[in-house]
Amino acid sequence: MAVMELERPTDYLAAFGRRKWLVLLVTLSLASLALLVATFWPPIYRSSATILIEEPDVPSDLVRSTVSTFADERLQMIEQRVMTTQNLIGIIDKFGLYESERKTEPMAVVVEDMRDMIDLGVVSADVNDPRSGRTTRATIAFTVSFDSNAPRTAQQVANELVTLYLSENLRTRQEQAAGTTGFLHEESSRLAGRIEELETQLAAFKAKYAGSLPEQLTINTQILDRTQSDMLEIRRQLQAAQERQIFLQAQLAQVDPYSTTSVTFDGKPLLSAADRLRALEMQFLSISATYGPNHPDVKKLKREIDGLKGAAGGGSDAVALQERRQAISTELAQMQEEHGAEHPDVKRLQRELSNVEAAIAEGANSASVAAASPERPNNPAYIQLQAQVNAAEADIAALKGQSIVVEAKLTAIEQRVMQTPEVERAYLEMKRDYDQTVQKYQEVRQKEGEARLAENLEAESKGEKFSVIEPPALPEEPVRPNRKLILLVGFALAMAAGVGSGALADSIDDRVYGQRQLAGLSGQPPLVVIPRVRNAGERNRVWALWILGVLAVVAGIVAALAYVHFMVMPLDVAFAMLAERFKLRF
Amino acid sequence: MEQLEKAVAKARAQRRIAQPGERRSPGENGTVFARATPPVYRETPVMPFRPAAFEANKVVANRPDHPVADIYRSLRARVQQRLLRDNRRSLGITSPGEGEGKSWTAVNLALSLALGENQTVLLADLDLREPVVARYFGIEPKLGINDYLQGRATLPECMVNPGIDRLVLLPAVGSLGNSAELLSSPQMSSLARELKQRYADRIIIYDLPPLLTVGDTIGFLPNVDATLLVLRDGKTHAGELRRAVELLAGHELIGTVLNAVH
Ligand SMILES: Nc1ncnc2c1ncn2[C@@H]1O[C@H](COP(=O)(O)OP(=O)(O)OP(=O)(O)O)[C@@H](O)[C@H]1O
Ligand SMILES: [Mg+2]
Repeated sequence: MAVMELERPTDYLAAFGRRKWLVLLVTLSLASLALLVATFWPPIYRSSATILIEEPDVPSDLVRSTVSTFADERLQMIEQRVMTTQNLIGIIDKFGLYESERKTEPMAVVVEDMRDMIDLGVVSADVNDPRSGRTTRATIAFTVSFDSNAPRTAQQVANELVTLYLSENLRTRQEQAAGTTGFLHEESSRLAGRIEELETQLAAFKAKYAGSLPEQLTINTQILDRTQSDMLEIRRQLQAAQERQIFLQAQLAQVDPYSTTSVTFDGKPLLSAADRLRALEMQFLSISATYGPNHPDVKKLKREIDGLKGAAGGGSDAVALQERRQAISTELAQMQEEHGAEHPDVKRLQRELSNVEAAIAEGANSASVAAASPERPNNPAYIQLQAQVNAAEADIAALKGQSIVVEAKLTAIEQRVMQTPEVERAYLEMKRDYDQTVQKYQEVRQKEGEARLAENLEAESKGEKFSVIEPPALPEEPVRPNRKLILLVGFALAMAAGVGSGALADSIDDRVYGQRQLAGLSGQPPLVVIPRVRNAGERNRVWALWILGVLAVVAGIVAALAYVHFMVMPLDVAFAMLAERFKLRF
Repeated sequence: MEQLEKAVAKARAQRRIAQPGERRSPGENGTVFARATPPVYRETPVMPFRPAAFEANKVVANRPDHPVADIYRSLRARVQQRLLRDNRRSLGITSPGEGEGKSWTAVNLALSLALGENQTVLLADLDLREPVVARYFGIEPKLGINDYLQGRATLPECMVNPGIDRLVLLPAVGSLGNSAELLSSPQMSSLARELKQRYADRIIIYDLPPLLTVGDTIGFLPNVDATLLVLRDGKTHAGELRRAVELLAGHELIGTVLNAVH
């Protein structure tokens, strides 16, 4: 605590007087420190390049570039990609930077230091946006610079960085364009898949409602008409057949079933019905084995046989059938041996054999009926009529069967026609979905094509691109440090610190200085103020100290100069270096 | 200077006359004051000061051309005026701490007073821890105030004239260690009384120990008529000064001396 506040200028002078050594020491040491710093702070050189961000060569409305991010944002993105630790380590290795630092510091620290030495600045200008027609502030160029203590290194690294920026820009834009194309491609193939799916759905639907589909409506109506007329025709035939049957039955009733004559009306010997039946039966067995049971010949034979059976009182000749069976099985065994079981002839023979056996079995059944029948009619006219009646009956049965079939068909067609509107609604819905998907697919395909074109554009770097308008130059003058400023500030700070330390020392010093303080504390001024007295010895000692001090300073300066001159560099060189560092001109 | 040389020559002559054996007479103790006849200094043995000691200790009050001697003359005038106005004759010189220049001031003031007109001065060294007055004069007396206090010598036997007219020294010889009880003892009071009564017109100056570090300095103060406080510029702390002033409140403080200003 200061004893008293300093009030008068003389108080300050006195205070300075008693603190002069401290003030001088602090000021001088800090000033010389500033001098040392200003002199020996290593020069830092900066090499920088200016890179212009160019508008695309192709007008943007002609081929819309897919890279539409703003230059600033893209610049930032590219900066992040360029400034990766990996890239920087690459540069450090390539040019052997920070060699001494790398020995003591981990790589991460070295890379961090290097980052501090890299500077990215943007150049903005007011530009006229052709699309909106307004003037906006836009980044038109940017600068990349690198600071190093060697001018050549600064230039080399700046160059390397410029290269990185250029290639990274190209790569980024291509990647972005490719990304758009890729997305569109993915979308289009997704839509293609969807279309395929819808197509199968449609096909399945069509298969399920085949016949009821709206486009089949006309055909269905036609078929319906035709079937209806078929139906009428069948009914008409049926009626005719029934009438004929009635007429034949009426005739039959007037003919005697039995007659003594065995000739026909034209005098030919008449085969008995049983003989004819036997012959027909043989023929039937043979034919039905060759053709299916529905073959018209087979059917006709069958009808005739049935008619004759009725007339002849049924039952074929069992003996003849047995003989036939014998013959067939012999032939079958022979054929099987020759051609194997799968041969068509063998199959046919097998079928015939089973037919014959069935006939034998039936013959055995009907033999009893035939035996029960008292007597068979033998009048040929009667038998003939009888056969015609039987034929008419068969016709009726057949027509009835036909009419049932046609009726079923008619119902089915009617059903289909009735279903059509409902099917149509569902079908239209599916169809609409399908059509829309197809349309979308086509759009996406078109876009994909455009994107592919834009990608090619980027690949040929016809898009917004970087071009170096000012390559990194070899710096001649260091950018840092401003030695004069360091000196100026350093000296000012040194003085301030000196005075400050003096003031501080005086303020925390609570000893009594001077008669004013003494008077203030003791209540009255001192009777006398006695100066400090020195005797001759002390005076001499003070002188000696001064002389010694001056000598020491001079000797120190001389020694330092000599050291520099002989051990570091000749003084004139050193002087020239200093002049150059402080930019002094003589 | 002439005066000084004369004094020296005179002192040398006196020393030749005064034999050492005469000064020491057993059984004189207690009767010394009865025998006393003026002028006293004729009885006092002379040990001329060494000018080299003055030079070494920067004692300057005897040098007429020295500016500090002028200051001492002005101090002398003020002290004389203040003392004689109230018929006071003894002055204790002290300071809050050590090494502030008490002894130096005492010697210079005593010299200055003695060299003035018609003023006899006795300078007594009461800083028994470390007596320095004899050393300031460059003399080595055999007996000192401590011998008197311990009954080994009479008071006149302890006194010495440094070869300067009207100045008598009562030095201390050797360190006495703890002067703590001694200074405030009744023995000291009677000594002070004796010294005062012995010569009517003499000013007695006591070189005292520091006020704050030596306990019984304050105990001796009732024996002096006035006190002078010496402060060394840039050494005395403000708090010490305040405490010293407080302690001296009841003891006629005639003033302060700011010493050794740069
Ligand atoms: N004004 C002065 N100029 C130069 N030196 C001085 C001055 N005053 C005192 N001194 C020196 O300071 C030293 C201490 O002085 P001195 O012995 O008188 O102090 P002190 O107060 O008696 O100390 P102590 O408490 O030990 O008795 C001595 O060497 C003396 O010569
Ligand atoms: Mg002393």
